[in-house]
Amino acid sequence: MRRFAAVVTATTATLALSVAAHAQAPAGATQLTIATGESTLTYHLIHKMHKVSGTSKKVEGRAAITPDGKAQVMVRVPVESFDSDNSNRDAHMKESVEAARYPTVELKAVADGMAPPATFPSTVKKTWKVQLVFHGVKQLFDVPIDVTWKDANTAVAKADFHISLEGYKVERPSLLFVKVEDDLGLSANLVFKR
Amino acid sequence: MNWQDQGRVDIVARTMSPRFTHLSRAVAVGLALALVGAHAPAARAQSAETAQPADGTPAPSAPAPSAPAPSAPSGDLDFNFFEDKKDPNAELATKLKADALDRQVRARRKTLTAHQAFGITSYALLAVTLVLGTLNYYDKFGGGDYTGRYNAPHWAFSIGSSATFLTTGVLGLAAPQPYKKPLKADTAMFHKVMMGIATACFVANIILGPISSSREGKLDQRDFAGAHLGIGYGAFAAMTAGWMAFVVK
Repeated sequence: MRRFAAVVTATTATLALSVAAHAQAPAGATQLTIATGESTLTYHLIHKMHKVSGTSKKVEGRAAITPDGKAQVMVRVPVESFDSDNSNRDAHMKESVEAARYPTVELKAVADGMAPPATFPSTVKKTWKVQLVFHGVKQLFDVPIDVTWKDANTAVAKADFHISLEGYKVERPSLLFVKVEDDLGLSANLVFKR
Repeated sequence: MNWQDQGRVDIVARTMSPRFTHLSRAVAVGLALALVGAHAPAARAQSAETAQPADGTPAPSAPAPSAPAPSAPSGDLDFNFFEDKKDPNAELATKLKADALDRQVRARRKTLTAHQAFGITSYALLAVTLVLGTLNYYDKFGGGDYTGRYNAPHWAFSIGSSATFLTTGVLGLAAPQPYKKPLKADTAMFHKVMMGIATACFVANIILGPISSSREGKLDQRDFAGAHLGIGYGAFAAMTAGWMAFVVK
């Protein structure tokens, strides 16, 4: 009887812990994976003398869409992968955002009404709840995102939004004693495949 | 498990009949753990919106005015599709490496700030040197009065511009490089090439200047002086191209 009770205790605890564990993709959800190499995340920075853009093609992530249309997306990009075609500028960027301490930019997004459409191609425009973790700081945004379903297995998400460098505790880099503007534009072009 | 959750376990266990002590306690433990799991995500969502960096520095709670209006925190975002395995040793190694890099980054920033300051100073001094050198050339060989009054100031500014140019170069080369840079044909490379050409011009002129002065009264002094002047303008043009590269692109 004691052995039976111990087994039941262990089994019940294990089941409860598995329920309490971090949520993975919801049961029955359609799962899509980002096509790394086809997807990009670009930052846009303005200095008084010129504009700078850096693009990363090492975007990885997944999306899950439940049958009732609730979508969850999680994307991660290594900070060191951003390339502005200027090695000095890229190195300065890594210094400013402390790439060694905070090696990734992480983005999570959720929205309702994102069930795959009946006909293709089709574009769904929705405002998503987005959480961006960058330089160790987490902030929430409402971002309009266009999702184009090319076919039942491929969706392309495009979004543009702006963040504040100082809001993310990033020391604004300077050139010739002039600092860049605080506003950092972000453009995402994410290709999801089933 | 905190004291509140332990209390829940005890309350649930005590309300059950003693006849089911063992089995009921097992179920109570499971239910309590499930309650903990359901409570934790909501607590995480309601807690600070900011993640703590490795050094524990608190992050700001309010967004900057230019950012999009943030919405209220929500447990909807409490999911993770990446199965990262946490390794305390690896995390400690990362922190130590980041701390070491931070020190190098601070040193680099200070060095490069001084590099820019000395660079601008040497550029200005070279401009004055060129003006005085041109006036000196035309005073002697261009139909001027041959007064020699620009000679000494030209010497003084040439020494000043050479010294600050040398300091600029040393600072640029000595700056630490915490994040390695791949060799690329970009503006940074162009800057280095142009400053290399300027350096060669400075060295040539440091040699030609005294030679030209020593040819006083000789027919070829004008040729040496002309070459000296041309190389001086070459140095100025190379320096101009070198810093303009960072401005234009």
